[in-house]
Amino acid sequence: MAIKTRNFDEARRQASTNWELMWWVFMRVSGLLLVLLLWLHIYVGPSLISIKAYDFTLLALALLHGTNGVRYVLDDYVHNGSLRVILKSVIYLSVAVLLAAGALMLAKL
Amino acid sequence: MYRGGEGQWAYYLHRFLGVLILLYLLLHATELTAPLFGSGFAASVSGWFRTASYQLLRLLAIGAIIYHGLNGIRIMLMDFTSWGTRIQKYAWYVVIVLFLLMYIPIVNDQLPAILNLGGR
Repeated sequence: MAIKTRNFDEARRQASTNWELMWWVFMRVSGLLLVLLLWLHIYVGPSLISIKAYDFTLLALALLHGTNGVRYVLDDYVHNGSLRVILKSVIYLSVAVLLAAGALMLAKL
Repeated sequence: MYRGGEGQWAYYLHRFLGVLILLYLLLHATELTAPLFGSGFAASVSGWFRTASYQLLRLLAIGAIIYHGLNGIRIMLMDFTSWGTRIQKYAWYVVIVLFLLMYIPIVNDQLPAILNLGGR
């Protein structure tokens, strides 16, 4: 269950598990990093493509942030249990494949 | 939690656009890694990534990212400052204004070329 709160202390009280609290923190930290990295990606763009560490960090953070966000959305709005499992599996599998593909692609460049 | 006010709209938009961004990201990552899935696959999808519909989705995704990022900063102000929640309604209007200031020039710059692709 997504944590619905307005600060870290509340988040700590509401979090069902340490794992859930870790994701709450991750969404804030990765979100802030993504604002900076995507600003470069959109405005400076292709000239940074050759920096592999930059590209991989951006891809990994964006995929993880997006996957966890979609997990919150599916948990909140998809009440049919088996449909939720199917949708999550499709998303997790696509993300895993694309993360691996991105890493491989960058390694080959 | 927000009882139908500005914060409620900010929250729904944040979630909806977040999902849109992930879907775009999955396509964008596929676009860039297509050769790994075979040259046949790469050849068959490369045309679609140049169509007006994909380019339009890309332009929409840029807008979604700008809104989601700005509103994300608003969320962090609520989470990590003592005054963020008090000003969240006002902060949302700031988000909207900054979004328009950042996004309109991009649309103005890129939309004509996309429309020139026509229905292709």
